[in-house]
Amino acid sequence: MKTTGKRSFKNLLIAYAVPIMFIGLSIFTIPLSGFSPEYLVQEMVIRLARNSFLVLALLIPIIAGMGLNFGMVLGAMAGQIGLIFITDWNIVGIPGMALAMIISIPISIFLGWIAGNILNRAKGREMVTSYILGFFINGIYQFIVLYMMGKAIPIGNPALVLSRGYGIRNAINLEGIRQSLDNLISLNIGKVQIPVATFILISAFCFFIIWFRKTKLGQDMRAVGQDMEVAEAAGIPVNKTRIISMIISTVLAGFGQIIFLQNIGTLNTYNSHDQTGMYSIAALLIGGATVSHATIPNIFLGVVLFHLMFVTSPMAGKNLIGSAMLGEYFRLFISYGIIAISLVLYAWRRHKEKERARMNLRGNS
Amino acid sequence: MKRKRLIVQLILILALVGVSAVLFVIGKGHQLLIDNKRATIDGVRVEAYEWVNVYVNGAKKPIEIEEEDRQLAKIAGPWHHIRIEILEDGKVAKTLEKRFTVGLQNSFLLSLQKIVEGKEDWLTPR
Amino acid sequence: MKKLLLVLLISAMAVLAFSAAPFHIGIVTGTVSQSEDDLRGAERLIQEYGDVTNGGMIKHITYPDNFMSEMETTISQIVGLADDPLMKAIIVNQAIPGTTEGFRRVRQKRPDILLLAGEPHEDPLVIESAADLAINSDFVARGYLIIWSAKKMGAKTFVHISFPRHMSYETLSRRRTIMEAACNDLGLKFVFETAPDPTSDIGVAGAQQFILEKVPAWIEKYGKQTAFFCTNDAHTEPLLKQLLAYGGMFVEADLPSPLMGYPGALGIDLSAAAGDFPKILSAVEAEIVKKGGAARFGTWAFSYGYTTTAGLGELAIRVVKGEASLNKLPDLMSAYNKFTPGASWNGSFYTDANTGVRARNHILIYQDTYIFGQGFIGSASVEVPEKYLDIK
Repeated sequence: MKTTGKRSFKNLLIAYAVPIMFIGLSIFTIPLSGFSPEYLVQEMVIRLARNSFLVLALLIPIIAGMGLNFGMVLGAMAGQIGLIFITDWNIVGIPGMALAMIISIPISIFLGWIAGNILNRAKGREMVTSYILGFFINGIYQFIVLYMMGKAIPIGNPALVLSRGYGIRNAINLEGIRQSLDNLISLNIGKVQIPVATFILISAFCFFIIWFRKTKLGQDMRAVGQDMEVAEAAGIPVNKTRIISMIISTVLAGFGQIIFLQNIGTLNTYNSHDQTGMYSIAALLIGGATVSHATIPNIFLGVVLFHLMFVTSPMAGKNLIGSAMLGEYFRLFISYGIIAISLVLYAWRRHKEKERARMNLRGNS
Repeated sequence: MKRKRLIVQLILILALVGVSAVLFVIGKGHQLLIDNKRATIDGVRVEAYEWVNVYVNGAKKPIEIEEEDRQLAKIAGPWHHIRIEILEDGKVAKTLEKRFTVGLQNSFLLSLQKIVEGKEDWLTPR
Repeated sequence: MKKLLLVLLISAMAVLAFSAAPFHIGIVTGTVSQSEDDLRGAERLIQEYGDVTNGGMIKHITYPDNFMSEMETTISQIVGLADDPLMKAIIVNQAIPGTTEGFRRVRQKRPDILLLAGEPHEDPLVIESAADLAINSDFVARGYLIIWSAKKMGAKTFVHISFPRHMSYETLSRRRTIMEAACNDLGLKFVFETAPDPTSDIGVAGAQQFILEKVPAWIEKYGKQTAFFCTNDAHTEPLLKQLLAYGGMFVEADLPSPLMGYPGALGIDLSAAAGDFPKILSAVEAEIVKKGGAARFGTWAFSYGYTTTAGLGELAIRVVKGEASLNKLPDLMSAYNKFTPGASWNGSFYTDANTGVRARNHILIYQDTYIFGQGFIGSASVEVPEKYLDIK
């Protein structure tokens, strides 16, 4: 009896090793950074509003057993194309954001369909394939935005097009839609500003995902995620289900990128999407999710912990070592080091689970 | 069955296009250039006003326009409301309110002189 | 327990610091690997005014090396500085993309903080909308003055080395056009030569090899009284090396500094003199004169990046103290001159080429060119003819 209690506590520790490690590290970096609690709370609220939606987009492929969708950068690019168009047409405010989302939908569906088809040919290696796919589509994106836009695709605004007559400028000022969603309903608690409308949208999609899991399609996806062969035998169209999950993920990633950029206010045409996949996945892993299992609380815990580290570690490193530059390297070292550790821990944990399952089997027989 | 599905899909796409068109119109941003400059209307010379406060769409803070000056207001959508206060010696001498609609052009020129004189063409796209 | 003590100690130090300096100045630069000179400028200020952690005035942080992808980090770094209630000014050099947004957020929360941007990467109109002051190197005036200096050094021909990608930059292609016009007016022959782009498949090594092989042929073709200019930093080092060996002249680099190309071309190690520009300059000068390049090679005596960080910091301190005004050229120049003894600066306000509107918070500056073995050439006091300012 005693041993099982001890064991389950140990299992819990193993299951939440990554978040616990992060909380432990934060306990040191927060006072070291010297930031005021107000600033940190405000920063976390902003980052929750800004990044949660992008991380949400990762959930559905995980349900369908396709691992972490590094291909979400495809959706991010679709969202950015929508933003380029509305900036050119000068559509501002919430209508501008909504229109950018609508423009991104067909592009996202198309890209998600391509990605789904390719991943169906690379079953079991979805993560690495989607990662490389992101680079490939990035090349096409650059070709379209740098060479086609302005001539083949008419863009009239001289603030967008390079003076040579084609190609979009490096950085686009999104002044028209900047923080339009965040400021739609804004609440002040103390000195902390809370973008209520953004959180309403995020929670709406959380409910969507909860509801979606219970639908026929959601159940099918879970079945596919558990075991493709069994699902196939049960009459579930495995390939089609996987493609649909990719499409949903890509569309949501497009929306997420638009929400992200309306908060940031500037679009780095050729680089803004680079890190979306990496950071969202890192946040999800840090929240205690794994390649095969993720829940909604994982998202919020992960976003807070990851970004807490992001905000505090440069300053903490600077105060600890005394050089500004080393603070920056400290941040990189800590942030990416933890991502690597969490992936290693996942592999180790899976190994342990298998071992335990084997032990149980032996004990029963 | 398949036919019905196709129809539903088609309706959905059309609805989305319709929504986009509405969003395009109500979200379109414009520049409103407000001129307080000497003008000749029907052969009569109208001088620039000493100082004008313009409240666009119920803004609390006015746009202040001096004599012979042009200021810019950023507006979005087709329907607008403007309140003009003409000041003389620091006191409001005349107040004027107008509702107006704008088309889809990027930039409009509003002449205070024409609006006060009651001319029709006080708002012109440019 | 030990760590807890450390934490307590550092917080105690921070409290002490707050009581020491009346206000703080935040500085954001790149790291050594991205832009060393900018960072050395911040260190120069710390040397004078002290670090905040030790009770001084300066709080120095760096933006990510991979700044194009990590804009989020840049923004929060800038906003984080505004968390300090004593913060009175923030200087970002170079003002990479994201600076404008960072500035907007600081402004929203703390309208009392002065926001200064050095060498903005974002569009002029964008950064002007958020910053209190933005500084660029003067690509318009220098287009004329580099030619003027070349003529004064005795050049008959001017060779401009570049490649298509660079010529698609508004600033670089506009400067090239101005140079060509100036050559025509001052009686020099203008030649445009193409060299490979180091960011293409050929790489930096290939591009440098091309320059090494090509320069002797160019000197043969155009004669020794030829001044060379290249728009790319990677080309500068091999170009200088060959010009020293085969003859030819060099007025100044695209972003001039005695550290730009010279240490590598001369094979001297200057790491001991980091940040000490008079020392660096005299070391480079001695070596050039020894190799017979006196009066044929020039540079800015003090690095542009270094002076911009330090100069803007100094200006901000003076403005906060009420000793200077932010948008007055003489005040800016005197802050810059503090760090460049002997070298003078000049500048003008930026005028948008499309609308003709002169910005009140965007200044273009340049430094007098220093010719090795001869001294300053006096270009900062030359009046640039009006017509060149309108060339597009």
